[in-house]
Amino acid sequence: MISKPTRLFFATVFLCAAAHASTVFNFDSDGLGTATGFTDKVNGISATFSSTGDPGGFVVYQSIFETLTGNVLGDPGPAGLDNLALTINFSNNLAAVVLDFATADFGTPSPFTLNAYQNSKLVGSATSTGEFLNGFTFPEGEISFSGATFNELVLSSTSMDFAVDNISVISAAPEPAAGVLLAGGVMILLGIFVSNKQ
Amino acid sequence: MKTSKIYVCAFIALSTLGLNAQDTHTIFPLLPPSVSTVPSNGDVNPYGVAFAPKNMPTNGVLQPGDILVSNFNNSNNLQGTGSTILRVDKNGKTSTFYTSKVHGLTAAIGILSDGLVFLGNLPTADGTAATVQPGQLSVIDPNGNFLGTFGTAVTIDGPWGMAVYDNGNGVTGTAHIWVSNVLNGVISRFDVNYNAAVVTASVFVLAAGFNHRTDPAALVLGPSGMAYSASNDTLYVASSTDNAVYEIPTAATAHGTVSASLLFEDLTHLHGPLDLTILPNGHFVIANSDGSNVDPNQPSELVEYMPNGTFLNQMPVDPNNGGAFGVQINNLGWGTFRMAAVDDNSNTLNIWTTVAQ
Repeated sequence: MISKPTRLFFATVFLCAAAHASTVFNFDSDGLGTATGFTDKVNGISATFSSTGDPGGFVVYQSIFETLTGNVLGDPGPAGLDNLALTINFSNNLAAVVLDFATADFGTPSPFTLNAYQNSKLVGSATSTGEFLNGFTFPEGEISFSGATFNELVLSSTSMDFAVDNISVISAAPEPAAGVLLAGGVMILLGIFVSNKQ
Repeated sequence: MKTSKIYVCAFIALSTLGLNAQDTHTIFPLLPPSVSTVPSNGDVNPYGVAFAPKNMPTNGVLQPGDILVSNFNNSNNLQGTGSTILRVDKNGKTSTFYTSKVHGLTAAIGILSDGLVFLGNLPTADGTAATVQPGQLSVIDPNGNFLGTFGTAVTIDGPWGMAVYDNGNGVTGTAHIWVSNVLNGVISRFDVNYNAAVVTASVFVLAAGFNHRTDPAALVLGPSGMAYSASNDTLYVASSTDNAVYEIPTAATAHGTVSASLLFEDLTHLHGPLDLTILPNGHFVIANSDGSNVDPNQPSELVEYMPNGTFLNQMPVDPNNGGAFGVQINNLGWGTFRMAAVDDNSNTLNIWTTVAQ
């Protein structure tokens, strides 16, 4: 027999895990040289990366940054074009996103802009500016957005080129894995409630 | 049957690794480090260098990343009589892109995003300073066809250097083109609008009063190579007369004449600076023509300065004086750039790819 505090603990853990379940696109399973447009699928969510410079506007390459690790996605790609915006179309409706970026600046870091769309309608935006980190050449930063449901992001910068990594998204509707955790937590709570009644 | 299964498994494994989606662009053939700039008509003395924009259309002769080189002398090596633009493609193969009816093609050469080439010339009748003429600013299409000219007697008077700031998308756009005039000491700004059907321009004197003179050996000295920095809206002008670099503020936003000011003078390292370019990290690279303040111990130097004018280093393109003229870079992204510089003595174009830190 599991004690009531232990059951309560597990219920809390499951519910918290469900609440914070996120999906991360980090390009580490993409081959080096993979160029836009392409689609990655993680935890049942598909993200299609594209640009007006395709084919080959952006490309997956090894990080030369600190906070962007492993493989990253940046321009210029094989098309050799700069000053491009990166569009990400998701298969699911999303509630929040946070990602790491770097801009190709030697002097003053350029602003990095995120525009969020729901079925092509602009629902919000955010702007962030990176910082120079000790031992690294280019400014890096983090940008996030929440507060409206969206299924498309357009990322851009006034810098000539930029790179992104660790694109972490949270579904507007619970993902399957999060649903299992949520159901588990609720069932444990129900069990505690029923046993209290008896 | 067994073998087929193995192939299928191998394919699935490779697909899982993403190898089937990898870029198949090869790095070969590499651009040769140096190419001859002498075209079939024997023109010599290469002056101007310009990179074709990355986003320009690919349906013409001129292709993205190509390098154009203008020749100032004809096959008899008479100054102000050359008539050809040489095209260097991405494999280093050369061809004559354009043969001009007007002569003495200078370092005033630039290319817009739709592939239009703007080209200045300063002709002589016999290769001497006594017969120099004002020249003109020509416009050439991406197939090497002459389209027309822009400019007035004041705004085009010995076009010697050029800088371009273009917001075009490969088809349409607006651009600022600055021209330095070595016969009247004027910097002109052409505000250009272009689309697939038409190109128009208005022009005014952005800055005036630069020292200038003719010279028996160098032919002319005065305001020469220029580079524009969008981050501070400043045009930088190399003066082969003063062995100095000047800066012109509000170079793109001003609507009238503004004053230029001295950024730095360097009589130790500048020897008739003729062209100037800005690296991705903001450093200047300046080509010494050795047309003034000549130093036999520092021949044909490319000189690197920090943005505030602090000297960093230098490298000769030729063991003798008078070799360095046109120099330009093509920013490849994240600090990597291709730099092309002519050697007038050997009639070659040197090409390097390196990284700014």
